[in-house]
Amino acid sequence: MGSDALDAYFNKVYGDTFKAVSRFVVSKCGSVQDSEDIVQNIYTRFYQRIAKKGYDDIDSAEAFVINIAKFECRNYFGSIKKNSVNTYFADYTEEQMVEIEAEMSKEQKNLEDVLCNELLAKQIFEDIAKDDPVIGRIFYLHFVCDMKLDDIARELDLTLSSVKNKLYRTIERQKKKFNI
Amino acid sequence: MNRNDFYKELFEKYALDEEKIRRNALKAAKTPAWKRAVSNHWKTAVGAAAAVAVTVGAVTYIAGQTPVIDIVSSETLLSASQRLQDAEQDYMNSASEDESMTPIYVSFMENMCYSDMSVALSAVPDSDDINIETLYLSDGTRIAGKNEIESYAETGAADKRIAGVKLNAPARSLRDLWDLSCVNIAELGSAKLNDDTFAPIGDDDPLRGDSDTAVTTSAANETTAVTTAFAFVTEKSVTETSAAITETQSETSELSEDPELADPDNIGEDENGDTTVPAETDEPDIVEEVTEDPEEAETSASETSESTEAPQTVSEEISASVTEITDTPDIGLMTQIYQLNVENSLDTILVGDYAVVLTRNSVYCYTIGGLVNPQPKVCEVTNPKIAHADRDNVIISGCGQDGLRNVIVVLDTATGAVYSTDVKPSIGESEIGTVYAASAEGRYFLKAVSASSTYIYEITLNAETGVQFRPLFDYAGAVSLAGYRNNRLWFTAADENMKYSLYSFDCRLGALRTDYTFDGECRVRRSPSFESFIISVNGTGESSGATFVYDVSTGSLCTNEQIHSDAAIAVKYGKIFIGMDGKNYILSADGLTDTAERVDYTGKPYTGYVVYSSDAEKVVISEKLKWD
Repeated sequence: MGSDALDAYFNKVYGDTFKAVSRFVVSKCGSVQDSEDIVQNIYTRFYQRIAKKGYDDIDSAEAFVINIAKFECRNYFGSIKKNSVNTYFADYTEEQMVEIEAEMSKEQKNLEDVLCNELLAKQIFEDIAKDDPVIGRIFYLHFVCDMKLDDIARELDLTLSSVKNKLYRTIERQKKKFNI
Repeated sequence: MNRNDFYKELFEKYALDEEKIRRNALKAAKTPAWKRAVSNHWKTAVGAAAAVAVTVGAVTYIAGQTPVIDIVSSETLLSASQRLQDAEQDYMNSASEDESMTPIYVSFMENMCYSDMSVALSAVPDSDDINIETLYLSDGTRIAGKNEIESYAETGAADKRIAGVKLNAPARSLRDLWDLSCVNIAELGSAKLNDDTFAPIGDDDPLRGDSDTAVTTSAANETTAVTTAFAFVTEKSVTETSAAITETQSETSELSEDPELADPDNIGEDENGDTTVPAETDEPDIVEEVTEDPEEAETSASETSESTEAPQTVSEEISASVTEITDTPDIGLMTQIYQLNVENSLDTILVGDYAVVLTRNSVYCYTIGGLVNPQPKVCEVTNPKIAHADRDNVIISGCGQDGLRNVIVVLDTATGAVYSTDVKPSIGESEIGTVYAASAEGRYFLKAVSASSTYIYEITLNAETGVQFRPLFDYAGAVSLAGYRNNRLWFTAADENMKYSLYSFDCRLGALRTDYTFDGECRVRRSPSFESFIISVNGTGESSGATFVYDVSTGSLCTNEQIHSDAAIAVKYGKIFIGMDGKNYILSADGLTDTAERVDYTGKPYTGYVVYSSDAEKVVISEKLKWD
């Protein structure tokens, strides 16, 4: 099989499946930063497989790649959450959360400028990514994958209140920290 | 742009860069496997090798725990470093075209079940030619032979007990096996590495992070250091132990730490020179230091008797609330005051903006100063007791279903996470005593006690994984932890002749060293930084009545006749502050220097909450100017 044809097939599958695979990995694995490595491993493994045995036998590329993803995730994080029960204290009240939600949809003039300032934007991203890994996953699943918070709560095995508190607590903290 | 759009763009831009991942995946797929894998595997596998050296030693001295790997005797065991060196050569030299069938020993990162292992092995290109010869289970059992393995596969397919496996496979598949992310190390069989000498090398030890150091450690050193140290601490017989522990209780029961030790800002701060200021539990630094209180210091005696009680199942709810008191009395520096009304509380401490209240069955956490906490009950645990508190974490011990104190609850004050861990699998039949923190280095040490011994563990706190234990050493008697710095943990203990010594334990190598021996009973008090401590010697020997200050940063033992046995000590900014008789001194090689009225602060001032007064029904909390 020609290398060009192989690359073309890989690129097509990659484009078609990246969103689903990244969503799967982020929801299953430890942190957004780890997820990047895992997603890379998944596609490396996929490429190696099709290079060695071809892809004629693959009916659903997405199902095939997700299967590889399941294996990778299990190997990476098999030891997570042993003997651990998590809850959180100092939660927001319902009223406070409603206020924050409403504020999220309001236009803010300076946010575009912040995104243009690469240094600051990266700082803000890393502030989230390097915090509690679950928070980064919530941000990714909610804002990039457009998942609803109650779906995220189910996916991450958390309560809705916990997801909301993690999200809003981080946003409120960032408002103060970065003046945004 | 609204905030929703902002975070969407931010994460699309910086999280999981689609194009970069595609490029890297293609590049990695087209690069020969061994080039990709070797450096990464070396780092993890060498770290694991050091871990094995310690683990094998550990099973010889931690009583009451099932050995994880105990397949071969130490005489016949190839050193882990040697195995890695051999495996490295195999990896680099194995030809990709070598199809000859050869034994390959595989150690998994973590124990696997049979079905997962099969899936993993099927990912190897030569999987059709790979035969499973022997399974090595985590409890030391070996399952060999086709029929036995098939039988195990049928009955125990889901049991995660397979630590390693011997395969008969084409030699060229060594690299592919090692490339599997679940594989820690894959080795070619040899005259040295065979069915009798192979023991799986797992990847579950905290020492993994020390891989760089481990690389430079010779195999001989690893083994010698561990064996020597552990032989020392276990050389006492059981009968000697009981005598020793009875005697040494007097040493620990006198352990106490003055509130004034906690921080230089408390030394001499009181106008009257009275160092027992009301705010003795005012901040994490102090709590950290006060944890080795007389109650805990009674070690095994008190804790064991307490633990034999059946777990309390009394259902109760605390009645508590935080109210701001506007009519503040004139209390000097204190600017704002709150009252926490409590009933049925066993203990209350303040950490940062939180008041943690313990009742017989629950832990409550109240925020002070405006934050809302609609659900103050953060967890249920029987007979909770503060094991340690600092600015970052509150560690609470509780009793499990067996009545033993073997549950840990952690409140992470930075993230608000609360997580509990059943630590019985780690500490067996012993019980949690106190936790000591070397704050500067972020290390935590837990003391567990049984009827005959004290066990010291390093623990790591992680909301995701819970509390993880790494056994360090045990001692047939009471141990007083004294200080920690650069991987070395100091403690005092008495031998069977009631001779007290200051020991230090190298947490990386597992080696024990006797630093000083005293001719009298020792009383230890730590500074909050855990980096220096005072040893006061009593008895009738020559050093009776002497007070020593051990500075762990220099390893020097300073003494000064002027230091009273009840003097306070605090180390900050590289200086040893001594507080006594209402005055403050700095201890140096030239002796004691009077620092006049105040300690020379270099930190930043900030306001924090302190307990102004407390009684059975209420805790009055105030704000106070403090120093960083």
